[in-house]
Amino acid sequence: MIALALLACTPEPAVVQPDPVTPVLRPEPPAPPDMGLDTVGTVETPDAASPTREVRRMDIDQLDASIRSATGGIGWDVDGVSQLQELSASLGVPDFAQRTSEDLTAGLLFQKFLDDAANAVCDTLVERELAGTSNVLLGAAGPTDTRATNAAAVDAALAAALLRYHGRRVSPGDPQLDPWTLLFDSTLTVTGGDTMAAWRSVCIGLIVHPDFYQY
Amino acid sequence: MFLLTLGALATEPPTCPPAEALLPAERWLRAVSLDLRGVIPDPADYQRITEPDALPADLVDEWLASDAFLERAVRHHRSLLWPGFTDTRFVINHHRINVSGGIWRSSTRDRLYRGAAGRTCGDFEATFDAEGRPVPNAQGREGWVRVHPYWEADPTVTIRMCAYDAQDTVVSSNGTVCADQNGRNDPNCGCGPDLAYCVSPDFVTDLRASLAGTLDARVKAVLTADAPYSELLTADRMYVNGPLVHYFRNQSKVPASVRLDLAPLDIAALPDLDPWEVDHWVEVPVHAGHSGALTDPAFLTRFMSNRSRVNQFWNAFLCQPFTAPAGGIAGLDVQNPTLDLANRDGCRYCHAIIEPSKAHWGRWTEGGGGWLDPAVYPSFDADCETCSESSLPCDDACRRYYTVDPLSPELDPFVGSLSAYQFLPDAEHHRVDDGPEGLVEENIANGRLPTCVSQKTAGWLLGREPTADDDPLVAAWTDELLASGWDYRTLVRSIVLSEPYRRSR
Repeated sequence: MIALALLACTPEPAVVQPDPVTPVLRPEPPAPPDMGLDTVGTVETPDAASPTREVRRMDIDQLDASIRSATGGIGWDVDGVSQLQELSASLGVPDFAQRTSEDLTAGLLFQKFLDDAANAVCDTLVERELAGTSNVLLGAAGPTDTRATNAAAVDAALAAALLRYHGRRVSPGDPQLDPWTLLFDSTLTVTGGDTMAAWRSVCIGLIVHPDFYQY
Repeated sequence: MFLLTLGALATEPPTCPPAEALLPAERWLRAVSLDLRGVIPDPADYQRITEPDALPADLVDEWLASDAFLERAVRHHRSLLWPGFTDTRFVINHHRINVSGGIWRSSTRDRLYRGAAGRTCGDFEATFDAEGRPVPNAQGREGWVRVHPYWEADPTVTIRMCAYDAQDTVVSSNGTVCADQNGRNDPNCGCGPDLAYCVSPDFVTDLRASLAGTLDARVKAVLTADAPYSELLTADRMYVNGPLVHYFRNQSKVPASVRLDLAPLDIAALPDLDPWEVDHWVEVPVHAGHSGALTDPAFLTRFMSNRSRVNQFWNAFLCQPFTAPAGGIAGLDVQNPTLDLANRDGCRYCHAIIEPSKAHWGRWTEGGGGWLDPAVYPSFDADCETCSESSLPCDDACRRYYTVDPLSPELDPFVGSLSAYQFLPDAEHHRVDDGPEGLVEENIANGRLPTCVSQKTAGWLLGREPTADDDPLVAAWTDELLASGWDYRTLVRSIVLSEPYRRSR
């Protein structure tokens, strides 16, 4: 009641019109990256009548062993226990009592744990590489080398990694190397020149790529 | 950050690798390495590629000869033989012991020892009377004793166990053999020397893994010896490790859901292996009634009925699953159907094959893996016939393994006969004596078995079930398998070096 009375006694406030202002426009957003969707390439598929091998996902034993092989012995382990083996039931490995066939789909759960595994092993691998206690990724490239300072060594290391991880033999200058040099360079750019982060990105990218976990 | 950099990748037009109608040698080698060894190649392996369209044959042979290949082959055979025993119970509850509050006991013997379920021993060191019996306190509880359990390799390790449960009696004062079924009702029986007659939860886990491991050991043995692959299904050999030896010697006479009490091997001839020797496998000769994996305790206890044994053999080794025709099976609504499934309308669609085939396992017990020795269990037992036709009770063997007390007049002609002979025509009786090996030989002769071995192996390596379009390929691989004297590595080598394997989709 009192509040209403006070409101009734309050003089009408003067309406103040704001000064017209010129809106400050944000800078133009960057153009979306060219995904190359306007160009359609050709794909040479195998003859449908010819018998083929089905591309399939690695099973968990293959994945565990291959990650260790690719990283010079580093596995996704916690207290000496392989996490991939610990998670094998969730990842579709049969016990032949309740489940009698192996689920080899590269589903979301698989991708999630593969990502976890890649992050874990690549952290350790790159630490060792930069500390000089391992040399399965950098090859002749030095810990601080970039493509700006030693392109030959970095490109050679990327080519060697592509062979080791994916079984693809490429020469420096091969277009198949471009995504990986781009990944390396882009990481350097966004991290302000952190070569550890750049090699880590390459390592993770190589492991989570279908060319690694499928064959 | 990783996503940012991945986004940055998209600023360049994507570059696809060249189309791969036939894989480049490096990708081909990678696939072969993963299939034969379970791991990607080393960089040095790639250096051995000298031609763009060929793999280094010596490298492939090295891989085929490696232990890693044995493991991959074992893995493939698990998918055929299904060695899964996660729920299998080996011994009756009276012989299962657990720890609670740091003291071990069998909870199902509480009433026998202390007069009430749930009444455990007291947490004090036991005392004994002049006859060596534990002395209970005023609440009827005895104390505990320290005992070295058989599963511990270190002889100085002991556990605390309720004194009644820990009794090491072999034959009680009542004359009860404590390792037999009757031991569970005799308060003077316990778990025996070093607790040998009882199982801990960890030992059950070891036993389950060991039973599955017998099939793995069998596959490895055939491949290690370069023996004909067919021996996987015919050899009269078995494989045992420490836990299995301990089980057969001390625990097989008190079976639960798995009955191996009619031991499929000569227990007295078992090698001296300690219970903790999980990875030490020894080959033991067995009687001629055995037929490789098909009479392995693991196969028999995984597939408990003779019909399920037939079904798995047809699926895994003849590639001929029993499935109903499109549109279903007619004739299943017949009134008063015969018990003879091989001749019952509708059922005979499958059972005309299943019934005579199951007779091949007629001397192997269902619900376990015991051997019905003809010297002890003749095809006809007059005592079983007599008890069935009189008011005398039939003994355990008659009730379990022979036709007694028929529920239908249809079974009258088989009273007193081994169950395997029910509805089996005289001309088929040889199947019981032939055992599963007879079935194997029959299907080697008609070509089904070697063809299916090729099909299953191709399915493993090609990542898909072969179709009718693949028949010429499978036929060629089968010819190679047979020409090589059933050399499994020859078959695998032919497949991974073939053009279809290299042509991935």
